[in-house]
Amino acid sequence: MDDEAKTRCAQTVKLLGEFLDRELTTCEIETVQGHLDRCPPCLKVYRFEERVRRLVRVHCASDCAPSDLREQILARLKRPSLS
Amino acid sequence: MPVVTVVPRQGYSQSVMTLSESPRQPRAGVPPEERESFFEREVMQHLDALYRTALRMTRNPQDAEDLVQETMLRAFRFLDRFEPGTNLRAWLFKILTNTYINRYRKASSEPRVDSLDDSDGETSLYRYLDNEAASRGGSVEAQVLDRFAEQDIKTAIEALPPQYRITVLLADVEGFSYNDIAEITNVKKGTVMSRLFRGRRLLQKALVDQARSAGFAGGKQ
Repeated sequence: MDDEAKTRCAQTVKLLGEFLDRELTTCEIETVQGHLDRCPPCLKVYRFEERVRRLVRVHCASDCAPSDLREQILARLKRPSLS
Repeated sequence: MPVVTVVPRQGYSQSVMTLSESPRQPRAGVPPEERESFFEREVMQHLDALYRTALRMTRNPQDAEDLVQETMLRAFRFLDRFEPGTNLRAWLFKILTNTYINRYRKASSEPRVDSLDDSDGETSLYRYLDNEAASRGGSVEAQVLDRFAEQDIKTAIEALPPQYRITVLLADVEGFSYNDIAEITNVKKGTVMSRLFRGRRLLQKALVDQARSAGFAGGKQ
């Protein structure tokens, strides 16, 4: 791999966080997408990052508030002292 | 059609706590007579999201319930300062974060994270893991990712220093933009970005350490 290609890969990997966070501009997104289309090793890094992020989202979003918490909150804010 | 499709966020979200300048809404805040119905209808929708974040913040169900209760009561009291039409979800998470910091972090000092070396500029542990996995004749997916159970992920998240943990949760679980997270956590956008960068690396590192102690790469099986 020549130096220029290495630099492009390094730049792409550096931007993957913002890419996945949808914080890049349309132009930057196209640059990253274009590189991922042509570079299987960078695509693998992307898939890994995306997968870790999905694991975090899925597992941490699965907890629901206890059923009585809602009632407790509503009961507390209806106490006259709070109005 | 590209292999990977990502679209930019739509425009910029409104500032969380500043007042709208729209001339059609000269009065700020939810009017007192609408406070209860607004709270039950709009605010309570966010209970589960606030609770799961509180649970990761406090690492304890009872403390999480207390934190959410206090957050909700403060939100109710401050509703006259909330401008309807602005980002209610971000406003609530800002109250949650402030309440957490005031309540739980006064006594404890934040662990230092100087030990993390990111001078190599590599933002992903993937290549390193890939080499290790390949030397064992497998893939990162099969050897590392597939074996994480829900509790492993939660343990790794909860091991992060609080400021990193909160920032990663707001981005990865709740999907807030950098601008919203900056507003919610009272820091500059650049700080949000560096916390995310380091927080995610610490998280990956913790997951790899877990995988390794469970037998992946390096250990004798």
